[in-house]
Amino acid sequence: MASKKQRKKLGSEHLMRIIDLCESVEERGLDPFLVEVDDVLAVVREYFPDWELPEELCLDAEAVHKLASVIKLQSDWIKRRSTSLYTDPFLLEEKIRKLGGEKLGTMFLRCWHPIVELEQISSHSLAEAIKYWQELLPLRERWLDFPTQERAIGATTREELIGQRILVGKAFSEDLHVLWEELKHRVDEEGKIRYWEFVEADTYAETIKRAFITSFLVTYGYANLEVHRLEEEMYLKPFDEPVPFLEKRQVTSLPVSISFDEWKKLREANQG
Amino acid sequence: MKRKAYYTRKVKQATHLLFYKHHRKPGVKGWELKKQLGSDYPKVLDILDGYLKSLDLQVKTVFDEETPVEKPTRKQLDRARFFITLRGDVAPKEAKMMGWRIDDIAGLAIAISYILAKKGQAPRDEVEDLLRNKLPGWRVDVNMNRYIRSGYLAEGENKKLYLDWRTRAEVDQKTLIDLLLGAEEQ
Amino acid sequence: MDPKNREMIADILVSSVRGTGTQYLAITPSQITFSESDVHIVTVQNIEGTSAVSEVT
Repeated sequence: MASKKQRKKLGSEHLMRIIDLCESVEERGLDPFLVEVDDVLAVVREYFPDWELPEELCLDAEAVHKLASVIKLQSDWIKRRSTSLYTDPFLLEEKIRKLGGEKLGTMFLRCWHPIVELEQISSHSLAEAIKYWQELLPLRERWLDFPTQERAIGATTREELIGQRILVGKAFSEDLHVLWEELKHRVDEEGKIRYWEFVEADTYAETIKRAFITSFLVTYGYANLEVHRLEEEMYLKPFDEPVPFLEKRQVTSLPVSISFDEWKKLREANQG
Repeated sequence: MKRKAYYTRKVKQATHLLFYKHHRKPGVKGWELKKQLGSDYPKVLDILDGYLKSLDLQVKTVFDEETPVEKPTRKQLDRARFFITLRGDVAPKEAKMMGWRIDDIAGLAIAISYILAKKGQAPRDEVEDLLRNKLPGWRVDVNMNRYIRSGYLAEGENKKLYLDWRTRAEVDQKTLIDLLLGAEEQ
Repeated sequence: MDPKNREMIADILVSSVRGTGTQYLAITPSQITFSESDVHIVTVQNIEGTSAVSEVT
């Protein structure tokens, strides 16, 4: 009796062969009925209980998908056969190759009914065109060369650019890590902290900045945001290590409003 | 009299819409006719078709579906495209006046017939090889591009040729196949 | 791009070119995040319709 590993290897080879066969039928336009659907399904069904890993299940799904494409081709073939336009393709091809060009052309004229498509300019479109022409600038004005002037290059420093906010003084990821460390230190015994308690700052601008950076902490897997709708509360829960984006089970968007009035009420509530 | 005047006015409107090119492609969509002529536009088109008979013209309907529809629903009609085409045949002299040489038409006939024989799609190379048998290479290139630009043929993925909207509107495919099968070889 | 992604892309650009002996020209209208000193920064600002060019020394 073959070991499980050998059986899986054999199963994969069978599925690959099925996929290749279906792809040949599709791409090369072969007779779709070359594929015995019942036999192929039996093979897929036989090896299905052995699959455990995602790659193995994907291979199985691909084989089924390719088989479904072949079944569709078989269905199209039957539909075509049943229409009045069906005729033996080889016979038709032979006739086309053997008939002279002129005879074929004359024959074609007997079944060709060209479309009537008249074009005519109207007085309205002429008036529009004249108006456009009158407003159009001459080429010599439209195709002017772009004026270039030589400029002296001035000097500046990194500090000046930082002051002008053209250059960022500190990397954004530094701010992110600083806030993340602060979050990790401020959580309670349950490992979480109220969202509003964490983002609130002395000024409105600082509160917005903290909320902005906190949104990145949650988006990029540094922390989780728990929403308790009944209590109308939100809690931040930091991770020890950032969790990669793709490993999260479900991604949703959550809008959080931080108006000036709300911030003021929050401050008054905390101070009171 | 009122009813007659109503339909006379509608038929005139339909003539303006169908005879003249308003878009990149000729013809008018069903929903456009419905908007301009009203929901009884199929009746207006039937009346117009009656008038056109004596002029050897007809109103032709081309549906979205590739195969002709026997009893179309209103939805299918609204999505279909309507054209005015010649009802009868084109004499070879008349074809020349339309700007078609006989070998251009023959090339088109071969391309369409071959694609029909290959169940609706054929590799472009194969069609060109067939044409190069009897036409100079440069003519084959020019004509193939003309057939595709005009809308007789379409080129899809993997350089495969299909029959396009103009073939479905202008060419009676069943008659073509019958003529081909019944023809005596040279 | 958000600031984190912008920073990541800037780092990738610099690290992929470093040591290859080639130069890479990046033009951006937004805030720049290149923190390395071996990145040559030139700014062009529109001041009352005139371009003012400055180079970081």
